[in-house]
Amino acid sequence: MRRVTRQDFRDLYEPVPKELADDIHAALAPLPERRQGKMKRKFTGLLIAAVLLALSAAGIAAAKLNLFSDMTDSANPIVPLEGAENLIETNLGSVENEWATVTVEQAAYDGQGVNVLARITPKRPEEYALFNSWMMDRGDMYDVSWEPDEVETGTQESNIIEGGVKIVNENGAQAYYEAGKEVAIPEGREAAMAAGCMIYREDGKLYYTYQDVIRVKGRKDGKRIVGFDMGLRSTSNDPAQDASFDGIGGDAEEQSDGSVLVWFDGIAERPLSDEIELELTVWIWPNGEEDPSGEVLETIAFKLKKSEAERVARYVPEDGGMIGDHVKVREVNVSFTKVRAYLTVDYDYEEQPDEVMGVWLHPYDGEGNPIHTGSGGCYGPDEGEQLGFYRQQDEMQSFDAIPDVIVLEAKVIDGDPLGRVACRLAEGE
Amino acid sequence: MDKATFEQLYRQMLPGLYRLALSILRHGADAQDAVQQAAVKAYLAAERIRPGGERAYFTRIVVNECRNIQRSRMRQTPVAEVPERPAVGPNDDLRLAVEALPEELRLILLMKYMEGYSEKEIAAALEISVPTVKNRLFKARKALRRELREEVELA
Repeated sequence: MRRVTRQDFRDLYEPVPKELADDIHAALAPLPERRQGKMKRKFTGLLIAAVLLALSAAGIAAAKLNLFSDMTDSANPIVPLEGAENLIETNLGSVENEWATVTVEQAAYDGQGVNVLARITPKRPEEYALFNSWMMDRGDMYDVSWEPDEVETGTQESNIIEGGVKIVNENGAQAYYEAGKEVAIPEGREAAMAAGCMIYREDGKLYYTYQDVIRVKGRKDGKRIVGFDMGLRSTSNDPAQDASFDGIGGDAEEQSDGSVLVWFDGIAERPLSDEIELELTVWIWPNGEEDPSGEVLETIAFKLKKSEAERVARYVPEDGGMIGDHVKVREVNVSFTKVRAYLTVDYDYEEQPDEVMGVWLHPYDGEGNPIHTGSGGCYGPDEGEQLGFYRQQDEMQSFDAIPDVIVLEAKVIDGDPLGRVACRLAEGE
Repeated sequence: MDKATFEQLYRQMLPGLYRLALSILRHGADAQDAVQQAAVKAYLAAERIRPGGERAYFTRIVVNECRNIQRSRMRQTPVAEVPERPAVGPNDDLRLAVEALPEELRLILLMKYMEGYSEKEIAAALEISVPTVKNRLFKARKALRRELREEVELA
């Protein structure tokens, strides 16, 4: 398998011209200074109060449904159905060390998707706070800065300029070559920018001239930071789980007691076994996220049972499934659970030169209201299982009563709608 | 935020913003114009910047400026017109594969894997939902694998 790094992508593009920063300075110079003032928080405060009131009124059910908050906290939320909270398993495992206690607090598996909520609690919250890069958007809590990006140890080669570039930075040797010729490494960034050199040396270390990295310097309250990371993966040997969760995503949020809640959600491309095995891995870096010494590793293995029998419905498109003259819906299948629905649309599509990214099919109910969708993907005729037709799969809002009709609108991605077709529940379903 | 602080912040993010502009416009001078014009517009509306959201905010304005430049100059630079560098490096196939991606997929892929944006940041910058970001990343990864004709691990 080929590994493509961030630097590989960066090497595809020329560095920032050194005069651009000066041009920006010149452009900003004649503009007036901005007035200093407090940010307007009044309406934000009211909104937060309203949300808290709603949550407290819902009580225990709301607390358990915190598991799904990533799904519901969206402009197009997918809201679990009433009764979904009964499907949530709790307290699935815990591990602790001198730095933290980690607990898998809630999880739900509906046969194709998994939601997990973990909590990591510092052992001595008065001494340090836990931090993960998912929390970096809290500019009110963290001092974030951009710092020079140090050149990795080893030898790097790139064709960023004609003739290529080579950087040697290992075993005490530091050297820089352009088109095969060694070039003296400038001392300091200013000198490197003046010379147009992509690296510079400072205090004996090499740094990239034209790029910085974002780092958390510390908390605004001065508390020490202990870095952590978590990853969730399936570990079953069941061949059915070869259709594994694609990119289990996550989010993290510090709570008022110093613990951090971490959400994971993942959806497989097809239904999996009645029971799956998962493993949560936790890394803790007592000396900060960038210092691997003292790294502590913990794992929590746990199993989840499919929480309910899914309700499966097949829909047949009207009018032969045609939408416009180059999209034809073959069949629609939907699996409904209390947590979400899984929409699968098989269709034929004749590529068009002005439809560069193809089309996407959006579901509506029988009254023309959009049905919210979430994560999804699409395979072409020659991809994946090579079905010979397109297959689009979406996470979708579920329903207690299986709809009699789902309307699909074909829309050019980043373009206009092409039309709609009604798909009716197959007889006998 | 005073002007000096704004400028310092913008300059620190400049390399990443320039790379993204270059990935859209495929022309150095146009990318410079986009990033420079975006700096002025971002400063004039700086009261909208939420602490911690600076990069998403700047990116949104840079991307919008790139679109403005594309429209006003009626310049679409197809792959065929991009000067070909001689195939001497190990990653020329990567460059061609990335340039072959549809622009929307290329931009999201580079934001995440070249510049390290989180999915939330990408959503905020492009004013789309997080699920849409996930959709497009899914498509972008698959498209890149197809272009490279091999399995790829994006670190």
